[in-house]
Amino acid sequence: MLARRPRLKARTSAVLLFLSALVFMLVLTAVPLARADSPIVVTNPDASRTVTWTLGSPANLTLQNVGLVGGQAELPWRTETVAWSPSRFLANLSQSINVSVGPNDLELLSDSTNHVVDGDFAGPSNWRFSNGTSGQITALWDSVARDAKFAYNAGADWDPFDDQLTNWTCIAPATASCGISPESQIKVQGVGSMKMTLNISSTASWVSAVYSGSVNWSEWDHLVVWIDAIDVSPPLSFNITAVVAASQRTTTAIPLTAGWSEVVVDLNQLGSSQERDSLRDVRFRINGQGVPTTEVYFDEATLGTAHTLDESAHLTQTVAKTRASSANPGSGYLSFDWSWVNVSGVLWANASASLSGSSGTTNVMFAHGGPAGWQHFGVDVSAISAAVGSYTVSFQLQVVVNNVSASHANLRIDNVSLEWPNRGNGTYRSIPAGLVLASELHNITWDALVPTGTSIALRARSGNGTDTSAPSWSAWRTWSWGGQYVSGLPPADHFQISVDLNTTNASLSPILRSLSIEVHHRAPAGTILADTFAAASDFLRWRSFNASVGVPAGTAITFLAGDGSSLAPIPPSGSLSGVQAARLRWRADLTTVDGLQTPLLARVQATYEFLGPADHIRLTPSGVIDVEAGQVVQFSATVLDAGDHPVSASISWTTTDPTGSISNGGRYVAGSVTTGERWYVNVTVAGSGKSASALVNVRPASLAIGAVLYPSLLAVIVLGAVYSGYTVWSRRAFAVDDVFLISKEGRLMMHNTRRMRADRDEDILSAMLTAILSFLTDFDHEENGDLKRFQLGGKTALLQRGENAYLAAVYSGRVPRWSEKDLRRFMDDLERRFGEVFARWSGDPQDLQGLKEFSDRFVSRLRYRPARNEGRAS
Amino acid sequence: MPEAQRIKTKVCLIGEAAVGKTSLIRRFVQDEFDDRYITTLGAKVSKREMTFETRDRTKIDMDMTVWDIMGEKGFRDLLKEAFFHGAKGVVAVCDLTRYSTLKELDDWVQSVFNVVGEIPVVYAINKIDLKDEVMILYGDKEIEQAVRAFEAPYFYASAKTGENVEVLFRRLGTMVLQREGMAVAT
Repeated sequence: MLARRPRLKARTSAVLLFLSALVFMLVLTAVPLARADSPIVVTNPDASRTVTWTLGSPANLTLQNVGLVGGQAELPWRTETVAWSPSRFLANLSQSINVSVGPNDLELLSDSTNHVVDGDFAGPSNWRFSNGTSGQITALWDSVARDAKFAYNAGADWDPFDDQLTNWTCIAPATASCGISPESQIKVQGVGSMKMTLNISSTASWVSAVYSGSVNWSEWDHLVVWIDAIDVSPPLSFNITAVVAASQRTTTAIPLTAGWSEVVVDLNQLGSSQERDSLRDVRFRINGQGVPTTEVYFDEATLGTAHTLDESAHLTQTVAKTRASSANPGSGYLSFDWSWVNVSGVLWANASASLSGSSGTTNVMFAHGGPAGWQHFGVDVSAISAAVGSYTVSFQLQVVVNNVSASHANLRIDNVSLEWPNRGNGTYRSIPAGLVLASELHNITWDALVPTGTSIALRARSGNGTDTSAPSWSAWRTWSWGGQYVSGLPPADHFQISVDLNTTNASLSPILRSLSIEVHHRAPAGTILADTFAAASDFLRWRSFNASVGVPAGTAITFLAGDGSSLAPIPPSGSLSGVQAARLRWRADLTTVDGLQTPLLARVQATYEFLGPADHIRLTPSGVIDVEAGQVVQFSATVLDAGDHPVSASISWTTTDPTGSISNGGRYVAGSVTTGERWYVNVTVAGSGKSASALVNVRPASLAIGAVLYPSLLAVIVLGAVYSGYTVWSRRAFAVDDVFLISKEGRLMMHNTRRMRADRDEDILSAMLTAILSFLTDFDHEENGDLKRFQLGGKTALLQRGENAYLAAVYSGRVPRWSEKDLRRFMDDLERRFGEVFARWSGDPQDLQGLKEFSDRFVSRLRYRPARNEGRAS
Repeated sequence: MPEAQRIKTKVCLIGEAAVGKTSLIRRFVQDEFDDRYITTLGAKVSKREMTFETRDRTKIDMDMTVWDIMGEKGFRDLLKEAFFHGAKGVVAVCDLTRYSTLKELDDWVQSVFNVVGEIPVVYAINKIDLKDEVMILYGDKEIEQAVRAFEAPYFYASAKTGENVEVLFRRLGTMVLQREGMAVAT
């Protein structure tokens, strides 16, 4: 029976309530109303207190990326400017037509295509090659070198005197002498010349260099040879002699001058053209008298025919221009490579390149005599090529000749290029660019340079996800002039940019110089950390945690709580039993993946239990108790606070039974037989006025009456008295404090105790006991025995194993020998009645209903009485 | 509101010596006995009460007794029958800084299975707080290979910071309840 404090009468309560309210109202009118942002502690009727944190101000809270609005915590709005630099245009490129993304801007692509077809002369078909009028100067495509070749070559090189002169010997009359040797230092061209060392006495008149073998000079009428006479005093002269059909022929002697000079010999003096086709014993003769030893050098003997020439060859290609461009420098450029090869013996050799069109002609000349090898040349042709039309690229070689010797002029042209800007209309389009979080798109700001003849349009749209065909995507919005505009785009997590650039002049482009979008979204995450709250000193345990939250889709709030030294996850509403200390700290993590939504936290509450004052008494047994006169009833009482927490308190026992008695330990001996009324057994908490009562109905003691009538029964009464005495003695000396029923693997199935409260957690105690017993069992396998009893101080524990579980009974006092037998019988009864349930127990205490009551017969009685006719539990 | 249900269950904490088993649960459980029991007795039992909710909103209060088993193989072989008997779940703990401790878990888990059959297993890769201080010799690939045979989830955890300790025990509790046929949300 639970006895609670008598309640105040209703009228008294109402008066107190009214007075309290009056005082409260007076206080409210006297001081300004302030928000109670420190944790508010409210004491509940069940010996617990609820601590409430409101969120009106940051007092006692540490906020990170969290705002407090209207008494609630939320993720604040953030404004960001998404600036589109050229790198971002490139990174987000989806489509680009005729558009160039430079380091600083976005503009139309300048076309650098070479408009000359086959400018590298991979093929000849697009070029027109025109030879000179007489055909002596040619313009050809060189299929091997893959370039264009202008060529003029006349005459023949007869002997360059660059070899070892094996065809030459020297001959002289008796009073003269000569010798021939190769000379590498003194020369006109090539790698060497022929050195003649000679000495002619006053009685001789010549020395000769003789060419072995037959010579055919029929195609040419002149021979030109370079001669260097070191000393011409006395004078020297030169002529050529040859034998024609056994007839000695000779040319006119030509006086020599000191140093190199080009000597021209008329070959007609050696015979007709037919006769010159087989000349023998050809000699280069030096004439003189009394010539001391000296040297004469010969180099570069060529054959030729006297002639004059002034002709040109041409190389041309016609190019069509379809877009107008600017006449300013830099809009048109003609370039090519050129190389002179073997130019000699000509009076004049000059080359020129030109571009001509309806606006004029640009012509450049490049004469021979410059650096050897390939040269590059370029010229700006913007001024004469701005208009649309047909243009001709042309190269020309002009050669002028008036001589009798061999002559050459060769020129090569390659890599001809003609470039004009060719800008046309273009478009840039970005991919659907992500904003990380869904955002409001506020202002769009952009700046462009738009020259005359060009235009630009910026377009933008927004939507969710990257599928732009999805319904969430808006229509394009268009702006034609740079500036700042309200975007008017719906909130979304993606947006797309498109830029149209148009021009009517291939040299000009509109230029997009900057673009930025201002977006507005919630911060993605924030944290609230409460200061550590310390509970009052009467703290017992934390009970529950409860947070008032609003979490729209895409948002979340997670909580952690702990004693301040560490925090562990906890649900918004859940148990706080994991926090052991009297301190509490909590943290709330607010997150969103939708930048338009925020989770809301309005309030956090935590409840803890405390040990309150004595509130009521649990009396056992309770209710109406039937006893016989003289029978003993052992009462026990537990003093509890309003939350059913056991309270240590001093109690006193009384009874209204006029001849009965009750001890300080609650042992009641029935006295007077009740006749109509019942006796009370009262227990009172000293100094608190808390009390509880049980009703006792006392019947006459039947055996005592029988003993008077029948002497034989007297012995029974005596024996009974002896037994009662023994019982009383036993009860004083011996009691079952605890009975544990534990599954074989260590899970507690039932705990029955006569004590008010367990000292330790029952589940842990049972499991550890099982671990210890397992350890002892495995300690010595050979013994194959079990621990059946152990003693610790005044306590004795008996152990009894069943098929599916085992019993551990803890006794105080001296334990009789029959206790082991009782425990075994109790175990047998348990297995018989609950064995099947034990065998398949899942851990749910609901499966073991009736077990506690069944065990009462073991705990509450001195001797265990086996169960009879009781079925099995299912 | 459906009535709350209570269930008692036993789980074992296994793994090589010094991987941090005892430290891992120290702040997680209700601790009543001295840690020296582990070296003297071979095991120490502690307890944690957890609450779960089924899909029909029924609350399940679980009393989970956690048997912290000594990490010596000889001891395991001696007392495995006693300590693993009746276990409903296993937390297998290894040390992120010692690859050998992950490989040894194979034998540990198999040893439990030999006693109680196949039961839910969760791997705890402990000492994740050291990941920036020492050289880590294995990662997801090796761990996934190790847990594949047992279909076990794994968590990087830290006894020092408490990271993921609560999470992995809740996951194990959920798996135990699901194995008992209770529709508990994961």
